[in-house]
Amino acid sequence: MHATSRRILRLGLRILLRSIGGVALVAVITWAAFSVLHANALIVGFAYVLAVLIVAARWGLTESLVTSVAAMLFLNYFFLPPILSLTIADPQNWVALFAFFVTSATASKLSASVRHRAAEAQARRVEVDQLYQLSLSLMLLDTTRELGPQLAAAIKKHFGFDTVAFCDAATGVIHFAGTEDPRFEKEMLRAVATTDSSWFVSRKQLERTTLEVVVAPIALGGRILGSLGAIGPPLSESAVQAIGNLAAVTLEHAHQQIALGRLEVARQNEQLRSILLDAVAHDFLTPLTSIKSAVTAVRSEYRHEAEEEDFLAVVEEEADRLSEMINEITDMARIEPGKLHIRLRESRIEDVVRSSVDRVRTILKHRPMEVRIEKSISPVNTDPEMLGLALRQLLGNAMKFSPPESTISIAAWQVGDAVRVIVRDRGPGIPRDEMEAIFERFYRGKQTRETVAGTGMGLSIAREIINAHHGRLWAENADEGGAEFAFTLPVFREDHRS
Amino acid sequence: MTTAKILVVDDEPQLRRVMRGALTKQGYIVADARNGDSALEMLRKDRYDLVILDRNMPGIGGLETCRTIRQHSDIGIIMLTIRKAEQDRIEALDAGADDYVTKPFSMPELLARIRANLRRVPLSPRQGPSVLSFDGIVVDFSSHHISVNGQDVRLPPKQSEVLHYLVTNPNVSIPHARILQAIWGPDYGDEVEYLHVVINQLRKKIEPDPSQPRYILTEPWFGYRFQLPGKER
Repeated sequence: MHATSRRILRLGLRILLRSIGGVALVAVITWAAFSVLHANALIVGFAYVLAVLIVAARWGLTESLVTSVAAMLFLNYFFLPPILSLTIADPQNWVALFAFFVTSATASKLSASVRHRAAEAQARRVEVDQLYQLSLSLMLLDTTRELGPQLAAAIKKHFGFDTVAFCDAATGVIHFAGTEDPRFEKEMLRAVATTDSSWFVSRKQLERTTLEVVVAPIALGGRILGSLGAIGPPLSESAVQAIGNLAAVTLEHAHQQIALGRLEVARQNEQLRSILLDAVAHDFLTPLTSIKSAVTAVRSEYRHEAEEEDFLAVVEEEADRLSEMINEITDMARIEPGKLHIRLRESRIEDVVRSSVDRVRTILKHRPMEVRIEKSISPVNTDPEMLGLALRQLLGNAMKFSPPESTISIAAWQVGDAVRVIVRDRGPGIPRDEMEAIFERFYRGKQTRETVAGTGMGLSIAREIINAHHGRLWAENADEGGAEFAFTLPVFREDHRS
Repeated sequence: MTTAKILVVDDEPQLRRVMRGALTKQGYIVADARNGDSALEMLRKDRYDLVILDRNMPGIGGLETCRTIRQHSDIGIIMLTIRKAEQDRIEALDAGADDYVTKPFSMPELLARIRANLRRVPLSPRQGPSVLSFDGIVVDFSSHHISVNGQDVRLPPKQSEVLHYLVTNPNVSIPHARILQAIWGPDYGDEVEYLHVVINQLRKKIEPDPSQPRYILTEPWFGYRFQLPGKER
């Protein structure tokens, strides 16, 4: 405040000195014309107009008006008859004063506007330069660290603001460049950042200073990403907009980069998991191979008593079961969500069903199986390995969710251009509200998650496989009781052949 | 019966131990190697009748070892794979293995495969032509060589035998199972992809356009037919 009053004082003093200068110029002209040249009133009048013009163009309106009055008085006193006396009433006097005033007003206005325009152009040039520097440093933001503080700091540095604040629309958190400044209205920053108001810039002159508080939104394509607050020397509207736009583009770009990075990390995790499972499975299979080959060698090459033979059979059967489980895990691990590689070809559904049932026989133990496949069924367009994996998930599921001795049914028949396959168990069925949820990855049934082991991957993988075959897999409860999983597959046509 | 010499190649010592015991009990002479490099070294020094080769080994893997063996030997190769995926089986057969067994395997199954593969070794004195030529292609079954438009290519044993079997029964459709039993042995019949692999390799060598075969024709759901040029039925 002290500084401001001193500034105003200095400004007044300058005007006073310049006015005295103007009067002095007129006095010099008067002296030269009156004492040296002995010029007449007309010539002197022109010389005075010239003096007023110069003062107006160089300094401004106030100084030139003072000069005009002085010129009028000198003209009246020294040159207009009666000479060396003031005759205010003389109309010539008023004509001269009017001429001087008009000259000073016009000239000062013209020169002021030229000066103003030059100053504005200079300010714009500086702003453009600052914006360019800002855009350079925004390109170098570190996306691994928080963006808000970096953004605020960059804007503060390049535009010479006292303080810069940035409010993130997503979180509502306000970041300050430097220390938190109480002159910001946080509510306003948040409101601008979170409302969908279009372009809204608030400017407020701070009391008794030339500083200004600006609050502007950061928006891209009508979407508000946040808001920006700055305290400092006033900036042009277009500069504020440009800063907002630069910040918006930077944020958007950085967000995209971060999102891409996350996707890449997720993909790598998935890959790592597959590699890990594969390695674990391989490690398990190695000793299992020795066990299996040893026990089968003992069983086939040596005579045993019935009791011994029984024990050895258990060892072999359980080794088979273990290896089948490991195989299922590796098969499932190899399936990345959304990235299924299937190689469709003409195949017969009975072959796929038969080999699937064979493979899970060790897991199914001595479950009664009922397989009904329509005789006249057409070949389907499938990847038999993948379809087998899907079918085995359904069989394994049926086994887990039904009583130990109950029958599992498989049936297949043709419906127009599609083959429908169902797998039915004799268990309690599926709760109505979980009919779709059970197909989600890692979902486990609410009532059974404690009592039945599983990963929650099987059904989601089965559905993914059937979808890749352009078929459909769904669950329902059979009228006779028990859960029924049904899927359809398109019948093979000649134009499927590649 | 002369005792056959079998080389077991696997990086797992316990499995080598089991195999050595079980195979020796059958009367075979067994040697073992723990990786591809030493297997190749042993094959250079000594004569064997059959190699049982693990697919997944550190160092040069089973597939690479198999290809290297095949460059200069017709010895029977049974590959041990751990994956049941079709792609893996085809890779094994493509690399030149005569047969494969998926780990974990049962010993009787492996022994049956060994017997079948040893049985086919003395194959040369069979009926049928020993040299066949048509359309600029000359097949010499006695030396397992084929020359297409002057270009000389060696035929691995299984390919040579399948081609020989087909050309001695020209212009008739032969079911998969019959070819499999004739070439691989009486225990075979369901291993249709063995045939697919061999037929594909043969087509690449003798057909001008393997995707539009003119000589070795597919009979869908049935088998194959060798169409001898100029003898339309």
